[in-house]
Amino acid sequence: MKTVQYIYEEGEHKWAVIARDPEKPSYVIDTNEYLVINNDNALLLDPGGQEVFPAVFSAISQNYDPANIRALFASHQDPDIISSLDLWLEVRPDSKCYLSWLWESFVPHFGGNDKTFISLPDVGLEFDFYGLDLFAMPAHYLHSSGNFHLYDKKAKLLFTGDVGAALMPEDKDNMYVEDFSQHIKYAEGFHRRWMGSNEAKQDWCVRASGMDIDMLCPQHGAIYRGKDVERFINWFSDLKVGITG
Amino acid sequence: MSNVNYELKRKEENFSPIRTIMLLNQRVKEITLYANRVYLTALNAMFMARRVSSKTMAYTRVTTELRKFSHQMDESMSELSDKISNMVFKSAECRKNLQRRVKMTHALSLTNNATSRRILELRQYYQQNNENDRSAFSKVSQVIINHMNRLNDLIRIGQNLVVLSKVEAMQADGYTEVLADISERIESSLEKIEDICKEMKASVA
Repeated sequence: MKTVQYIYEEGEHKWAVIARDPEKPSYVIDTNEYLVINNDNALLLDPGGQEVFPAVFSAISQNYDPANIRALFASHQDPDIISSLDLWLEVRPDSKCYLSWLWESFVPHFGGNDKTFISLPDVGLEFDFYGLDLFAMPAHYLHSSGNFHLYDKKAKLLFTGDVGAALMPEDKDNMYVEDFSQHIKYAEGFHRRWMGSNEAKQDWCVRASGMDIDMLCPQHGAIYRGKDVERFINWFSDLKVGITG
Repeated sequence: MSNVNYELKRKEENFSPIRTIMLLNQRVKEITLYANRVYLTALNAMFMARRVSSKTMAYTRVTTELRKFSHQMDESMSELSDKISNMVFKSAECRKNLQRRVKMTHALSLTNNATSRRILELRQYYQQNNENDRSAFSKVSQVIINHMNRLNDLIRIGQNLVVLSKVEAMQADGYTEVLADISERIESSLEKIEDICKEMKASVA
């Protein structure tokens, strides 16, 4: 079963990561789901695919009432991100889903109706989530053509979806990056292939470097914190992407 | 507790109403094909009998009845085929819901959160509904069985007509053998329809 670990706590304002499922079938990529909590209201970031739903749901419910998940945030449209949508809507039918406008007619194939989706414009969206000041940061072409990250101004945490993701070997299951130079080897091939635009990447790096970020939280692999956040942005800025080799 | 759910999952995965129904639909098409063959053979027999002499008038009348019979069989199968097509869609829907229920039931079994009212509500809901999709397939089976019973009655009529045609063929001097051969071909098609009918009944029983 997946485990829940709190990575930020300030009173009733918390960030939890749901990660590392040892029972996960080997053919399914491991994912990190993040829960942004403010008292009895929670936002689940990249809730994951149908296949991992039982593990994510049960892990959350050990620590928090899943019926308090008022909204989902989908960084993009891939099945490992949001194909569990209809199952989460069973838990709470009035849940909303923040999603790029580009995917609004595609993601309903996974579930939801015309009242489910909150459209994110290309320029991004600052929004109040039950007292939390959040920003859906544009990250188009990284890797999806309609892609968003989520920044929590107070917690200084940036959820980055596939940016920063590392395909780590089975024996490396540390929650945080411990040795950047070793860790980044597991991220390099993924970023070169999956990130489609050097221009978009550069825009993202410029924007991210101007933000106050304590942790950079990807959807796969370990979390970057402290100096490793800056190391990652610099590394990514220098990396040539959009190539197969 | 999780063992119980894996068992449930295994059972659900083995349950494939769509595949079964689609196979049945293929069988219905085969029956329609044989029914059309009976019709054409009977039509051919009628033209031939008309050419022979007034002694084959009775044989001609039998072939007219055989054509009516094959038309009825065709109509019955067409109706069944329409119903089955509709059921394939419903079964696909049912399969999708079943997969969702398996995942949700599995998720609920893994949690010991007793404080969430929503979780308790969901547990009750899934307990009540897990068998619903199976009962949908039972309804499909019943429709097919009803149609197969109707088809059996038609086959009996067809067989009687074949016997009658054989008797009448004996009156057609010089053409007895040709007409008897046609009756044999119709009889053979009916046997094939009867076999398919038995198989279909057995597969949904």
